Amino acid sequence: MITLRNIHKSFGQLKVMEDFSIDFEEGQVTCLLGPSGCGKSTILKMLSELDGKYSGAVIGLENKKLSYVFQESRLIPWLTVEENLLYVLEGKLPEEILKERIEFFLNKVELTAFRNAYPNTLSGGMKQRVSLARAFSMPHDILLMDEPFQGLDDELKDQLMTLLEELICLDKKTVIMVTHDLQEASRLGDKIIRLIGCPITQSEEIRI
Amino acid sequence: MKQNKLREGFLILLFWIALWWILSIIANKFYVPSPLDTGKVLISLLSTALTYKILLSSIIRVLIALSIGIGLGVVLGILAGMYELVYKTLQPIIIAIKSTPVVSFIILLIILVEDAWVPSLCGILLCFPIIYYNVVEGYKMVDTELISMSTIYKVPFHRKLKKLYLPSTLPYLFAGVLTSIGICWKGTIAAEVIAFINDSVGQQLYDGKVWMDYDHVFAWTFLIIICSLCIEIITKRLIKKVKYYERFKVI
Repeated sequence: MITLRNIHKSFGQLKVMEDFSIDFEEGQVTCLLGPSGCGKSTILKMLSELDGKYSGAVIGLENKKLSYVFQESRLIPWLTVEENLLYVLEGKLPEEILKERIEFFLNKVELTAFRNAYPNTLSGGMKQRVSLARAFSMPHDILLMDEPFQGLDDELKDQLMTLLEELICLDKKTVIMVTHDLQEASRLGDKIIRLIGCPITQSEEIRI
Repeated sequence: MKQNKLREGFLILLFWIALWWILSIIANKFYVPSPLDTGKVLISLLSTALTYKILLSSIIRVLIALSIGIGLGVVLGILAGMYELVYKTLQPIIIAIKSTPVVSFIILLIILVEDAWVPSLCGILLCFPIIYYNVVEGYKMVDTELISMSTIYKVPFHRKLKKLYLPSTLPYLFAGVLTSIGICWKGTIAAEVIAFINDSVGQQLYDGKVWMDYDHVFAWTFLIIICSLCIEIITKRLIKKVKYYERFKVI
């Protein structure tokens, strides 16, 4: 179980969380639902230690490996698709397994033919697929996803969600996904949690 | 297209030579030698082996200054970009170097070190702050989203430096290098003049002035400009060969 306990968080004068606690069950896909700007992404930043300026405790992440899918693809422009994957993976896996793993996930996201392409030559959807390949190829215990389909058209979103379902099924790990789209959450999530209040004070599980 | 450009360049050059000629007619020809007189001296200089020896010695001084200035600027610039404390510690000395007139440097260096080192050291002091500031700027301009991505994926520092920070900083570094070339030449030659360096371009300029041989001064100045241009062109070509920069340009 991963727990955020009695979290108080503010950005300057703006309080975003007040005595907020939440549990995430391991091996499940948990979708966090809430309106834009309510502090959903902040929860992911706390979990990934990108944001350490808060009071309270984050429990259950000790020795856990994290992987992350960002809202934007965050690819290094001067590295090719394959080099972008190698950038995060090198040294974390033996050389032979590394190559195989990259090959496997590039194949999964149907970008094997673009392994030597630079990000500026790829479409938005393709970049996000590279980002998914990077996140899944990284050995991890917990996958954090911050609105990974933001700004994509419906068709592309549907394609990527199908891909994501497939990838999640491949390797059942703990997934915490932030979204403001109930449809996305109901399709991908084992559990949907709605964040309540502004600042966030509590949460409730939504059953569909 | 290329022919048009060449024609245009030739006409511009002709315009400035014509203007120089008119100026030499209006002013006293003794003080402002005509392009023809300068050309004659230039040809005689170029037919002497000593000229090449003198040019080479000055070029070596400039190249030493540029290399050390660039090396120092890159290393300290990256450290200052990484650690705020290094930046703050270096800031007073960098400001002092930037604000000190070249002549002060030269005189101080003449007092403190052997004369032979003065031109190169002066060149280093002139180009180091430019490179340093450009590298710091480039380092600070690295995309914060890529930095946070690297942090989450626990990318080791040496790889971040090689694949993220250095390529991001390169365009700034190259801009600094190109600016430094001209400044380094000016500083090094000025130091050669004031420190009386034997067999140097600076000494030739000084001798020309002392012996009122202004044709000579003009011809040597022309050679300095040509050398500076050559170094700049070679540097630009080398920069083009750097893969990272080429990739960056299309983004």
